[in-house]
Amino acid sequence: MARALTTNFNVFWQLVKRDAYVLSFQLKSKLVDGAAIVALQVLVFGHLLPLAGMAPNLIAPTFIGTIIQLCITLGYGLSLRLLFDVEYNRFISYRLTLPLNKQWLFGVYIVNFMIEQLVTTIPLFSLGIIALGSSFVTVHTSPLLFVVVYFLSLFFMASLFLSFSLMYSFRWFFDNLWPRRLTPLLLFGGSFFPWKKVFAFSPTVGVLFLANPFTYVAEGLRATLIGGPDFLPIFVSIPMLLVGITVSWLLFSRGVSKRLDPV
Amino acid sequence: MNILEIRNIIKTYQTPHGSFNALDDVSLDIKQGEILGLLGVNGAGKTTLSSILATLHPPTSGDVLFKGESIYHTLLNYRKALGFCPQRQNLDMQLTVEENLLFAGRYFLLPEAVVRQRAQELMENFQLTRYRDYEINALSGGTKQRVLIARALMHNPEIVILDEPTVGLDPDVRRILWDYIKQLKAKGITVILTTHYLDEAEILSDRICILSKGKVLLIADVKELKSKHQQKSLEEIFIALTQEAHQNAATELEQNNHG
Repeated sequence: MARALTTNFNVFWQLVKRDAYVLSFQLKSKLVDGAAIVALQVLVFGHLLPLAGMAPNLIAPTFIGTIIQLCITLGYGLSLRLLFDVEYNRFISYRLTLPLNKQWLFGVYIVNFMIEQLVTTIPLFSLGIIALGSSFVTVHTSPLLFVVVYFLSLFFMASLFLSFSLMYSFRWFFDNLWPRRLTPLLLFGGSFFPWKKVFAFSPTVGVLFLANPFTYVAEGLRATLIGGPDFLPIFVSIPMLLVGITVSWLLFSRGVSKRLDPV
Repeated sequence: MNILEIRNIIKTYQTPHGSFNALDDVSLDIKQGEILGLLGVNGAGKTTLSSILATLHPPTSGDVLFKGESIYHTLLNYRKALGFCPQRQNLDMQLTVEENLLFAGRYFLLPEAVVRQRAQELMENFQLTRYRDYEINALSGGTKQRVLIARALMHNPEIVILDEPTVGLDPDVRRILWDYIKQLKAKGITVILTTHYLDEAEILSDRICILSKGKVLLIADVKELKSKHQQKSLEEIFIALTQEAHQNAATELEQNNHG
């Protein structure tokens, strides 16, 4: 038992190291991309939107919302990469014959997804907020809780996009994932507006938003980074993110059996 | 001594038109150090059996014993003893030839010095040294195939499964790969060779197993089989046997319909 655990962990670690090695080649371009995104976001949220009349108290929540949009776009790319591999390269078939259990192998994919999302979003959460300066209005920041919510959000998105790559056929994924899955998740997930504003506008639409796990990603990050009474309480967002992770894993398990049928 | 014992394997797939058995109660023993040729026409179940033996997919029922123990009870140890070279090339496209081999050694937890030495040896044996820094996409089909076999051998496996290793290769490259396969046997490695090239099976295999519609049609020593059939080529014997099997199946179906 202990030997199997050690073997699983060591092979898992080697696979993570391989992914990190491959990522290291792209790190320079990712950092350049990250810097460009930060510059554009700061220009838009620090100057253009205030000039267009956006209320100062909406700048920070919407800025966080756009980071989630970026994560969705990034997740789509990661999902597509795995789907392409399952369909064409089949490198995953080689990995499935390595001396580690499938749960550990899928853990490798989760870690890889999370690291890639982290590398892209960290500059926005750090440099972006610093550069926005007084435009990013906060009430009460909770750094520790932010780390917890950030981790859970990355874990949730990694699980969800991993399940997308195994649940659908290549053709369906290409034709329908954006219009039928990602666009509703994005538009009805509180990326563009804080949930309480939506609920005040229409309770029905507000309830609809609560069925979308991205609402809890957005609201959780806002509540911990901005603070104050304008967002869903953290004791709602964290459990709901855990529910989102569980549902994603259930979908993922179905996708694994259907597409890969592994031992 | 049997290194693998395949016991009553059934593999059922669900299709929109119902279910069908890709493997239907397949049982056979594989001896240590032999080359077993798995033959059959397209759809006979060769690749399904290889992928079950490679632990890529589970059987619907039945078991596979490795040195007397179920591979599903000793999965990690069995995988360490196994090298799998699939029909569809699945190398790591983001790494070079050398990196593919180095990481393969690391995945099997070999010490770093051994990994480097082994990769060097295999690149020399498989004439890959000049391609060491090439990306996989830049290689020809034959070279990719050699990398694939080299990768399967990185951790010194006891059993190697080669699923259609020479499909689509030029005749000269096929000959080179045959030499490598013979070298594996000389080193005492058990080889399961899936092929539908009968000349290849005849030259390389000690024994052959012919699959037809998911069932074992025949398991025999190649030499004995040829002497029994008055030294006809394996191709002639194969055609006669599969035709006979199809004829028997058609007669059985007809009798059932009449009955």
